[in-house]
Amino acid sequence: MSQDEQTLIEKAKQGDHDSMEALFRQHVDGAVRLAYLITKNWAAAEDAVQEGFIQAFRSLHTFQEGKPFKPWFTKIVVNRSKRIMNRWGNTQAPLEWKDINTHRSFSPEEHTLEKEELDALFTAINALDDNHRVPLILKYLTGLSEKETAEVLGIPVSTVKSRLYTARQRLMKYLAEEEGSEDSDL
Amino acid sequence: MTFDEKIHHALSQTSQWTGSPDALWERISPQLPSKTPWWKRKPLWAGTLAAAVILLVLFTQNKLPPTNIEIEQEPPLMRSFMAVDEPLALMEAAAGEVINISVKLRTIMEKDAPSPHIHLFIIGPDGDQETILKTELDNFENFKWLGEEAAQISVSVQAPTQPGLYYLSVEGVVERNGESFVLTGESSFLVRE
Repeated sequence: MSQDEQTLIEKAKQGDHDSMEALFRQHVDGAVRLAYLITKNWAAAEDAVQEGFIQAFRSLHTFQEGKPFKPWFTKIVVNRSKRIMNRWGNTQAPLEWKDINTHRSFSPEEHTLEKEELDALFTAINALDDNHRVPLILKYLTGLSEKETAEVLGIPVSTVKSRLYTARQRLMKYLAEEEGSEDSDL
Repeated sequence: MTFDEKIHHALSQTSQWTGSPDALWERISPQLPSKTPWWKRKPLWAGTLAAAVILLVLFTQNKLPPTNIEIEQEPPLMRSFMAVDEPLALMEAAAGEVINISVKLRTIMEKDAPSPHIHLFIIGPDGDQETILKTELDNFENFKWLGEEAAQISVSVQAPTQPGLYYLSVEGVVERNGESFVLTGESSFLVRE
C-alpha cells in the first residue's frame, strides 16, 4: 500500500471528510464498473457503491493497518452488489449487449473482426454463472491476485484457480463454436 | 492480443461508467461519520473522572474497604479438556504413483444448479509455473453425505511427474431428495523428488 493511501486511511479513521473523499475518488470508477458487471444495471451498481462506501467509512476502525484498501473495499462492494441482486430477485432484466455497447470506444484503426470477437467474448462472459464470472471479473478487471480474490469471495485459492480455469475453458469453447458457426454460414 | 488481454479488454470496454463521481459523492457524504471532537475521542476521560468522584466520596464518608479481607478458598475447579484434532500429515507420493485421497466437501443448496457432475482439478506444482489437470469423475460411488451441509469423497489420482506441492480441488453438483447441491472441497499432496 502506498504511503499516501495509508495516510488517507489514518485521517479518514479520525473522521476527516477530505481524506474520505480522496479515497472515494481513487476507487469509485473501478468499484462502479465491478458492481455494474455483477448487477448488470448502472443504477443498481451506483446504489451498491454508495452503500459500499458508507459501510466502509463507518467500519474503517476494523480495517487492518498496513493492508491494501482495494481488496478490503472490493469485498464490501461485491457483497453489496450481490445483496442488491437478491433484493431484486429475478425481476431484473439480463444485461443486453446492445444496451451497454453505447459506451464502447474502439479506435478507428481497430479491426472489425477484433470487435466482433470481443463482442462474442463479452456475451460468453455474461453467460457464465456467478461462481465463474465473478472471479474472472476480479482478476481481469479489478486486477486482484488469486489470493486476494480468494479472500474477497471467502473461498480457497485452489478453488479460485479451478474456477478461473473452467471459466477460460468455457469461453474458448464458446468462441470456437461461434467461429465454427460463422464459417458454416459463409 | 493474448486471450487474457482479450478478456481484460472485453470487460473494461463494456463497463465504462459515464456517471458523475461528484453526484455520487453528494449522496454519500451526508451519511458519513463526522470528525470527532477531541474531548469525545478519549472515552477514558469520563471513566477517570467517575473513578475520582467515587474515591472522593469514599474518603469523605470514611467508607474505605476493610484492610483484612478473608479470602474464601474456592473449591478446585473441575477442568474439562477438549480433544483437538491432530493436524493431518501432508500426503506424499512418488512421481506417477496412484494415490487415494479423501476430500471433505462443503455443500450449498442451489436452485438453478447445472446437472449433477463432479470435477476434479489438480493444480500445481506450487510456484510460478503452474499447470492444471481437470478430470470429470465417472461415478459418485465414493461420495457420501456427512450431514446437512457436509460430504466426503474419496478419489484416486495419479501423481504428476514433476515434484512439488499440488492442490486438489473438487467442484460439482449432486442431487439429494430432488434438490441440487453445489459442492466444493480441497486438499493437497506432495510429489517427492
